[in-house]
Amino acid sequence: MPLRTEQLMLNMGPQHPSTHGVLRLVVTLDGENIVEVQPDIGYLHSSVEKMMEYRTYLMNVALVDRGMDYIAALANEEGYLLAVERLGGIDVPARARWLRTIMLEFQRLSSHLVWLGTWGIDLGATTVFLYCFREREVILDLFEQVTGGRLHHVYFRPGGVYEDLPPGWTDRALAFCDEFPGHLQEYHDLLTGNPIFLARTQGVGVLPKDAAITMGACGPVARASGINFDVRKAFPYEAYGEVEFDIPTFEQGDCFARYLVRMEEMRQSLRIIRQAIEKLPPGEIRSKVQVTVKLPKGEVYARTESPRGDLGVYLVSSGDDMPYRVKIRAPSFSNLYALTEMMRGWKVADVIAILGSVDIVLSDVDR
Amino acid sequence: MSWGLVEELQRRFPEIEPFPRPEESHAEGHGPAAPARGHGETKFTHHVPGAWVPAASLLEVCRVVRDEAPFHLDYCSFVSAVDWMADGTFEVVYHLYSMTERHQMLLKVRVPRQSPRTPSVTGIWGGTNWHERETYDLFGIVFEGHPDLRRIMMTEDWHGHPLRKDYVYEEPRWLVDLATQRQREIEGLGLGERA
Repeated sequence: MPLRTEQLMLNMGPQHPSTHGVLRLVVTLDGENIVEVQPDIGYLHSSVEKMMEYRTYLMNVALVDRGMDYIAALANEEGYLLAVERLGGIDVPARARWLRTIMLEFQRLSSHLVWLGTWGIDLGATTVFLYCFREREVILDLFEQVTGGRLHHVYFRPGGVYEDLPPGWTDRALAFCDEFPGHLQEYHDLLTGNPIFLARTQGVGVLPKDAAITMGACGPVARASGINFDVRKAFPYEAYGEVEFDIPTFEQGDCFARYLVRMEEMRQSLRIIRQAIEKLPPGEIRSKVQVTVKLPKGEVYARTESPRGDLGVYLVSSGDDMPYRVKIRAPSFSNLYALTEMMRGWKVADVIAILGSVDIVLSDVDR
Repeated sequence: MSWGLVEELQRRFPEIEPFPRPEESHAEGHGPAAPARGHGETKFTHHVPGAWVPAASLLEVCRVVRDEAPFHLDYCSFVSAVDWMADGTFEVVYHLYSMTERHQMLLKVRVPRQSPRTPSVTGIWGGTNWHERETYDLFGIVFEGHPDLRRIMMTEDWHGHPLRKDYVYEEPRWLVDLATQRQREIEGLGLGERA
């Protein structure tokens, strides 16, 4: 009897523990080789963009905080408010800009820790998860002391921030900055030299540089493919133009490079936080902005570097107290599309490793 | 810097219509904040440089701005649309960025609300595939030549396009049927009744 082969369609998700949310991957397999991966999204679609058209500029702060990337809520607030402040010509006092910078970098740290921990679980390294969440807990406590919230802060306001730092907070933050490099070394000890981890990530899921640009990849994924682009450097916002930090860039474009980029970014975040706490000027934390602020007619596109990449907010105002149209350019959305390129030709066992290395948040993808 | 780029584009394609420049010199969208203005003014301010392009010459313009100097806009951040219902048009918006030259530009295509069609740019920037699908799904704009134009956020049997200004939410048939069925089951158990 002649041997007959055929392609197999495999469904991963939408309820699969390793998809980091509600994502369905339709994987076409030839044996155990991946022919094609088609992500099926929209399970968490809540049309934040539509809801924003029916809420005032202040109310929308709470909406983008919850409606999008729930791992990095402050980054969403920042992206949205940057667009509002630029369109409305709203002034932000210096202290508020520096406070925002500190908070955003802590947000990047906590977000990267969630990514590292969950990816560790995907790859069978459970210990990393426990270590990461131990450190994340300290950051969440720091957030709670300032904003009152651990995950959803609603801390930024048009024209500043909600409240100033509580007494002694900077000391506790600096203490964390002192001890964190030691923890970072622990993660490196657990993973970077681990032969199993290396075998599953090195050279796996390669995204070449030109493909990364065409596919619209951004953030750590793009930087792991050799694209030296970070919105914090290219279009400095808040206090990023006044602090020193490096953009880690790697050429390999594989899962391991994406891992190294984020590990190094955490170190750079600490650098920024230290400088920002040192330079934190006294003064006002919020300029006077009406609760029902009306923005002049116009359009603006504000880009920020969220932990997942280039978060853009395209805001159109018709002169009302509510936006006419908001387009949120979600970094996870573009990176998830680039995933189809990364997966092609790899084994079915690599799917989870590659998916985890992209660091998507499905609420950010679907909005 | 980028406003000069739009002038250069207009020199090559006289049919495009550049956005009116904002009065402030630092209106690039990423400089220091512009001074606050009165709300009575009616002029629409474009903080990002760009131009309106006729749908007929969109593909040619896109090819030039991607490949040729001084544009080299090799990265398409997003494709989306704005519904100007009062004018009876959709504006399809493309945000382009150059990874090498570090400048940006917006391109807009006006399409009629009655029959919204525009050529697909997936052949030029592959990453726009999902962005065009999303715009099709939420606005109903058809991208001609798109390899896989399906709904992406909503379910296949959804009625209407949610981000249109005149969209009215309608419960999908399957959801109504399911809810009715559940209601009957609950009534059968005597749980749905109220004293």
